[in-house]
Amino acid sequence: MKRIASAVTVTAVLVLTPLGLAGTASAQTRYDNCREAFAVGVSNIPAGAPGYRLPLDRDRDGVACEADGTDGGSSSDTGSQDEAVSSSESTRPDQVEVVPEGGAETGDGSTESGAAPLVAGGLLAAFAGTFVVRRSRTGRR
Amino acid sequence: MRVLHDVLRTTPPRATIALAVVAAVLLALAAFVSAPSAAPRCAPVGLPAHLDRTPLPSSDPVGITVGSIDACSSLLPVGVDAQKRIEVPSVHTPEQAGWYRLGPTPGELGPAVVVGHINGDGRDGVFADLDDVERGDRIAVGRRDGRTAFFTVTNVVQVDKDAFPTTAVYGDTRDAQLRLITCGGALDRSARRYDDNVILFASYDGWSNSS
Repeated sequence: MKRIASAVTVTAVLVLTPLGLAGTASAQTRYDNCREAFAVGVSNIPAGAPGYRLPLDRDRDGVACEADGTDGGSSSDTGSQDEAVSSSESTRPDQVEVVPEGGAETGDGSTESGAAPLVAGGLLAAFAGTFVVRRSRTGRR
Repeated sequence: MRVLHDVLRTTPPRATIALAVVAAVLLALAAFVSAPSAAPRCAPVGLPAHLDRTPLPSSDPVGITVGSIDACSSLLPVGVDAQKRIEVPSVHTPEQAGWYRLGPTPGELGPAVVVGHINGDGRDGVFADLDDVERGDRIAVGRRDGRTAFFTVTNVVQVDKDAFPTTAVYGDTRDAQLRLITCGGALDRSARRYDDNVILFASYDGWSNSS
């Protein structure tokens, strides 16, 4: 009977796993310049990712330390250029009058059908599971 | 319910489990069947032979077209709410894009920002396919002064809203730039909210008088 109960648990876990997000813990990383990033094999850091900083995104295209060299940091580059951009970061931006906080709430998920069947499947498994457990209990009597 | 209960009672437990697994797998597979795409509805972005690359003076934008994903909309001016978060057009009109009026106008020096829903009220939003846009794709923004500003996509990134790259999006730029923002990533079903934003960065090609 125990084996059945654990089988139910495994089923539920297998079905429900796609719903949960695997934890993606990543260490916060800071690179003083792109040469430093390249030296440890890091390039093309997207905006929002750890390690992205505006001074490392010279062409302001949302990707820092691009492998194609458009953000500087090649061997011919001097660190002072990175520093020059860095100092401008600290000045308050004035092209945008009011800088909003955080991201934008642009959607209610109402066209998403992807996870719903998984939820239904999970519920079905849980539903079946309760009957199996109930059955095992009555069987014990 | 009673019948189902009796069936389950008389069915061996392993068969019940197998049944549940099969049902779950079938339901999951059904999710991968996607709806057919609709016919094009936007005029193509035709790039004029001669573009004036100089930045433009301020003039409110009136419409935007992202040709590669057949996305086009008029532009509703939006500001910030009491919490200083960027406003968006109503989720009940997801086809409507919004222009951030407290920043530069498209074609003007600085980062012009346009927001649009990925979906709303059970329909695709104007930027439902924003994450399909590729580097090099063209974007046209019509302005009230009769000029059209053209941009080329330099990057599309998906970022956690909790780590929104505010400076990269809203920070000063050396030329005229454009950012388009929508939602993406995992959906928090109870809050009806997405975890991520998809952000498109585009640089200015120049302007021409609207054809």
